Amino acid sequence: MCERMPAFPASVQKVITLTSDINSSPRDLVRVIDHDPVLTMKILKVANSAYFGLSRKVVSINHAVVYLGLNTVKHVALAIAAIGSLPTENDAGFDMQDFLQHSLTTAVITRALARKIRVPEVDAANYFVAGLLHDIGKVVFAQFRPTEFRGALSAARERGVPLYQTEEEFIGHSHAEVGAFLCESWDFPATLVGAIRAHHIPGTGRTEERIRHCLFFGNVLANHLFESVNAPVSATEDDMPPWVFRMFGNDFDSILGSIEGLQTDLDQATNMLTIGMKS
Amino acid sequence: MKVRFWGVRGSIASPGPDTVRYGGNTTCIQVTTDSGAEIVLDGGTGIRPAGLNLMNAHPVKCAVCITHTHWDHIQGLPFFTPLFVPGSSVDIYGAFDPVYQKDLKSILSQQMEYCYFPVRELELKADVRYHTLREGQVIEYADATISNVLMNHPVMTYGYRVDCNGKSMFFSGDHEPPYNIYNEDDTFYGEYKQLMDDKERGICNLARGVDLFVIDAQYTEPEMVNRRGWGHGTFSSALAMARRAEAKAVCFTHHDPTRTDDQLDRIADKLSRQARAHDPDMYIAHEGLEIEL
Repeated sequence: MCERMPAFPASVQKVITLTSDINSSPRDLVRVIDHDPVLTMKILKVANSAYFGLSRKVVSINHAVVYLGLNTVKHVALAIAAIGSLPTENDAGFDMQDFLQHSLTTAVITRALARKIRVPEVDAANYFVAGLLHDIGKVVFAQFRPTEFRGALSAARERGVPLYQTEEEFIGHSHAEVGAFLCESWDFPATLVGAIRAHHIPGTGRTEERIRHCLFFGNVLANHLFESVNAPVSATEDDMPPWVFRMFGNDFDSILGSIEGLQTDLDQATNMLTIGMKS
Repeated sequence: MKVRFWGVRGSIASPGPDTVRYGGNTTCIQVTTDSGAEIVLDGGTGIRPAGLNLMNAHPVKCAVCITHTHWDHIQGLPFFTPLFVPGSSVDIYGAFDPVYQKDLKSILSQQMEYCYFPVRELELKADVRYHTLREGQVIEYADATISNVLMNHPVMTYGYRVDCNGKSMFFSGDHEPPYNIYNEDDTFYGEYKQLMDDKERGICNLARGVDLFVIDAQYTEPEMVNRRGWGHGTFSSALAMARRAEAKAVCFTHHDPTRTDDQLDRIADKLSRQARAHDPDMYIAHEGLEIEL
């Protein structure tokens, strides 16, 4: 059902502009793609499809470009752009700009947390993708189950409970399950799928994959940094299991403060959004 | 195993007085195995004479492995005589197109549609079977084993390795060694470089130790400056890759349509003068070249 899901308006416009200019930089195109959850998801889908990607799962847009070739990635992006743009208004009353802001912030923080616990740089790209895609199930709901999703969004706000709880009540599944299901059906790496599925479950801090720790906590920190309009209820320090502080530091603010270059990365990500909205 | 070149030109057929010795037909290589099984690599315009030659031993049974579906690698297929003759059996192999989401049969049938060609694919008399290959899929064809790896070109392109009774050849199809899209001071430079190195290692691993490495060398280094991203290699990048893959011999092909016979002679001279000890034997592909492995 997601074959026809369009990407975000700012990136659609940038993909069209960049692909029309023979002298545009491939870096700029990659940057647009890897900041858009829908473009990223669909290009990883192609790269990991049964025809390709057998030797090694493709987990980042840079990897997809090296693996499939720049021109193929460019044309896949263009084909997605040709579908149109995700509408900024939807029947669910889901704020797409807020969603993008949260996804990008989570992506940047999750990657930063990976670097903090010394995950190799090549794998850190995987963590960025996990952050970018962790809430993709919400876009699926907004597009394909708007009425039920509207109910879940209002109920979560009114009751002051996390959205994933009301989603289960109104839709029967949480966005985490649906996102993981999509990624799984497209043969994304199992660790990525697992991290997306469990991004609201703290775990033990020991037996799980490290990507799961970083995504779980990256999501919490992103909500701490920017209160989401869509899902204003977020976890606090008191809700955190002890492993979080053992692994990453003493408290939310000092952990965020200790991440080198975080502000620059966040500014750059946000910049992608604002330029897109103005142009 | 015998390798015979029927088309050595890249991009477009280029007949004329300047290309008469090396040949103007686009890519087609015939590999004949020890048992006489026929494997044709690519269907450029060279496949037309290759098909006529195969017809000497009717009924024709052959495999056609398409590296990619750019014109210069498929344009001769509608003129491949065995396809029109009842009793022929042709297995055509190639990659899936992830952009248009089409398999090989759809793509090849399209070039035989009404406005391009008078005979429809449906009307072909041979027993034609299409096989969309996954990357890394290994097929057994008679006494040969054919394996593939994704190369770097502006469309999905497989390089093919053919093994038979301990002898082997690898054909790159079209290939440009990827370049780093980031500057050295960019955060992602290192990550991208590692991915590129992994990709090249994957290709070299498949081609490791082949008796003959046939590779795209469309450009010279000075020409490459303005042709980065076009998907082709140079004589030096091709030789470097053959060395890394520890090939016993390398054959440069996919000559640029503007490349004259005299230029190719000069390049051959230069390559042999600059050859290092333990370098693979070097050939410049020309139509009619036969290499027995």
